[in-house]
Amino acid sequence: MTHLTADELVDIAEGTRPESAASHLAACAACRAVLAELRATMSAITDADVPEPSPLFWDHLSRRVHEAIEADGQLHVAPAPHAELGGRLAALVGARAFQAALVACASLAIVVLVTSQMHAPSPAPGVETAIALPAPGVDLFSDSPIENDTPLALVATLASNLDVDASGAVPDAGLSHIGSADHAVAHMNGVELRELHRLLQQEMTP
Amino acid sequence: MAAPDPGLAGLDERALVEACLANEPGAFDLIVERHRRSVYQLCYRFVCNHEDASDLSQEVFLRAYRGLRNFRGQSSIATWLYRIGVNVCLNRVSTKVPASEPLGDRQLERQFVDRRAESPSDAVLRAERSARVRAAIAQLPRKQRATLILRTYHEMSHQEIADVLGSSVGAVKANFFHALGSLKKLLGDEPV
Repeated sequence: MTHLTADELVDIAEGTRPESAASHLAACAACRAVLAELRATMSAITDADVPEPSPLFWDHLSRRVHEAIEADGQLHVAPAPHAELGGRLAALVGARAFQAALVACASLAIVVLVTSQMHAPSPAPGVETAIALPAPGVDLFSDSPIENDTPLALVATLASNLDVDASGAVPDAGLSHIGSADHAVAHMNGVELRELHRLLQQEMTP
Repeated sequence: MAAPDPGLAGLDERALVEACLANEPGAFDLIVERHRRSVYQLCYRFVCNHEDASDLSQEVFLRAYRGLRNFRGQSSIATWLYRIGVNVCLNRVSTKVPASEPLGDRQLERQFVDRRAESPSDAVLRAERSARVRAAIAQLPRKQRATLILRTYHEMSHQEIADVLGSSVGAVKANFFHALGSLKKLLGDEPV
């Protein structure tokens, strides 16, 4: 005599296969006993609830998930080529400290650039040096020159995510203050810069 | 947390996933809100305590978010989340022995279960019975446990469970059969 398989017994216990479909069952007390035990156990465990947590828990869980995703997203959002480095550094050292360091790096880069210009070989005496300014119509703040300059592009990318106004690091970094002359120059448009250029050349011409 | 756009509530599952992928504010929060209870209950049944279930639920949703682009819509979001949940839970229980709730939490359980027609003594007995059954389920082998939980408490079909566990329908039924037999032995003759 072949007893019912586990598959058949489960189907009968769950009611997806009628008992009448298994003629063996009527003749086999052992299979009937197994079937009865299956049904009894299924019935006994169905009512075993999970304890309901506090009603406040669900919103707390949602908030936790949201915050975890936000924290995770800062490291997983597809970054610009140099921005991922910035994001990881920021995560490591903390946002404010990173902003301060970034401002300091930008300042240092500017100082290095200016210093290198100051120490460039001087033109021979008698040779007139013109201040190189863009031709009319050229936007000084266009991205294209930066894209061709890898170190400058790195500084620009790192600084692009920096909320300078919100960073308390700005005053400490020695950058220009609103109302100062260098702040005004930094915020001039192309037309204003060309006018400044004209005035400076006028003043400097003997 | 940004308040979900009221228009999101009417979206079907596929559209909601699309909204998540389009970085629509609140779209994934809505998925969490819809499925947090069932995911938490799944996790609780594996680990038998609130703290671990809470941590695991967070992990399930975090993994779901990371893998959202891989969701093809061939199953429901619930089934997909269960698949992630089972994997997360099985990884956890393979490294950690489930710790059941201390007595104080059982008192909490009684406090929050809403059985208004139930007498206090019946509620106590039922809570103790439930705790005993959960503890017995926690002793089952991993696949038997996963099969029994998904079949009995999440009403998944044998085929869906087979998809979640990466096995055949026959294997799922066999696991279910053996899980019930093992539970019968673990619970003994105690009235359950």
